[in-house]
Amino acid sequence: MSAVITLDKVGVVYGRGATALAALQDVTLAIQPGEMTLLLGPSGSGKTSLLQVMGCLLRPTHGRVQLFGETLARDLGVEALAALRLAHIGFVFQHYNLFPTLKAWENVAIALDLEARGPRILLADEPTAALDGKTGQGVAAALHDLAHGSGVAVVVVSHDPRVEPFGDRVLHLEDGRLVDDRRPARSSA
Amino acid sequence: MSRIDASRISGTSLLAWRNLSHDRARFVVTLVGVLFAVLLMGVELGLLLGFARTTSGLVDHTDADLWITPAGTTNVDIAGRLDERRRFEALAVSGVAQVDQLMMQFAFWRKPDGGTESVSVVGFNLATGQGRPWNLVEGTIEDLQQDDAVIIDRLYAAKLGVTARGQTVEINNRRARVVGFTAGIRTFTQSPYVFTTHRNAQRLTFFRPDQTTYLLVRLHPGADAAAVRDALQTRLGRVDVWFAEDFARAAQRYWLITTGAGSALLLAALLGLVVGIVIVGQTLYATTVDRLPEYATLRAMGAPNRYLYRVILKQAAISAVFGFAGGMVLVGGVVLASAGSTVAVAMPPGLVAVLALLTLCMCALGALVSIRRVTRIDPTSVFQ
Repeated sequence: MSAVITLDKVGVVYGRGATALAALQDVTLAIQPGEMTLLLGPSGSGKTSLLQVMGCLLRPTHGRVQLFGETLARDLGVEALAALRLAHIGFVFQHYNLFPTLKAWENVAIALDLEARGPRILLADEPTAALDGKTGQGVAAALHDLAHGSGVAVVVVSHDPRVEPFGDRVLHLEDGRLVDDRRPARSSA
Repeated sequence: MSRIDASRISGTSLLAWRNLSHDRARFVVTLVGVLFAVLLMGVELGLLLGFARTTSGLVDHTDADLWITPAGTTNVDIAGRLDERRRFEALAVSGVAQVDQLMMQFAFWRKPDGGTESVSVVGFNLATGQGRPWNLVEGTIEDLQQDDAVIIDRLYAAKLGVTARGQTVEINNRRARVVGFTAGIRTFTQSPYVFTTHRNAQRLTFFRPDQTTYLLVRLHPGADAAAVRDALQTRLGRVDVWFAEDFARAAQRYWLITTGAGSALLLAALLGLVVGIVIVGQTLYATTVDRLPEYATLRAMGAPNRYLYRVILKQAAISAVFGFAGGMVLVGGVVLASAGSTVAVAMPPGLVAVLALLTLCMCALGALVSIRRVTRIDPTSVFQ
């Protein structure tokens, strides 16, 4: 199977000069469809920046990003990036940011109104952080089933050890570098 | 307010409506702002149009094709004198079918109980009726056949000390008797029109029998109006020959522009527009800032900027529609109230349409600041 997202020596630097901060350094990886990838690491290790780069929300300072084998041009505009997100990428945000003016189903209706197609990539940022144990496990299992049942590439940033058994692959980041990339011998699925 | 069938409207419409109706106090402030702006613009523009109609009322209510006026005349209320022989010269021009005299002269009106007012005596040809009063509600035109008979408007009856037909007054110290009333013939100069026969007007204003103020020309059917006008101008020499509509517009320009009255009204209407833009802009911006995290989420999901623009513009449009409706109710009240006063607020359908357009533009302009703000939303902020 060909990778849905490929990063080649991707780096992200915030700020300039003496205050510059490297959030990601030379990250190279490929995200495969049909599996659930966990992104682990301490706070400040670059997980969120990596998720944003994969989600076409953040342009890397250097390196190359490919989506479905196509290299994203460095000068791609914000509207073009938004169109790519809408067409291919789904998100699960840590903070829901639902419109308080709308009922729950109306918030769903707004998302449908955007005419988002079924995403082939799902990026989840701490999806179980605010959930009790049973619900958290249920959500993790649902994400795992989505990956295996629908062929969606699921990437989950998490600090929650309850999620780890559901991951097909675990990436570990430290100080903006990918320090470990392993496939657990046994998945709970 | 929130009972709306969301399944039947688009997401942007639903979001726009809920964003507004969620904070009712702010929505009310927005509507009051729009309503006030519509009221101010409506009344000022209505006054402007009312004044414009008033200044050219006499011209507009004749069916003359051309007006011959003393040279240098700028408006219908103030003019010099023409010799009657000009009438015969005009009749000799090819294409001219009929020429009527029309008198217009300021005079002093002495009220029955004493005191004086300034009036404008209008003398017309009783036989042809050219320049006769319109909207006659008491008495008949034929009543003017009596030498001292005059007709005034009810709007000015109290000002002129008249309570009923048959009362006698003095105009320039000469006896006159009120034989009828019109309704709604206003004057911009606030010197009420006093209609009478041409001969009586000459007597009341000390014109010689061979003098008049204007000559009103009717053309033969099919005559080339421009050619006849040029021929009259050449033939009569030191007079001005106008198309009726040109003379009407000249009168409007004179009173509304050269006196500054029109500029003052337009300025007040502009003020209403600015006030509306500021109020709508402020309240929409506050609503937008409250929803920035949610808008950022939509952007992160891939919503194009135009989707957010539509939400904000629809909020502006909803505010415009409701504010306009409320404002027009008040404007309608002012229009009705002005019907019985000497100052008319005109509100024809065309002006209503202009006001609706202005209101929409005003609210759209007010939305620009909010649109600029959402354009700068950083979708990565949802991860912070």
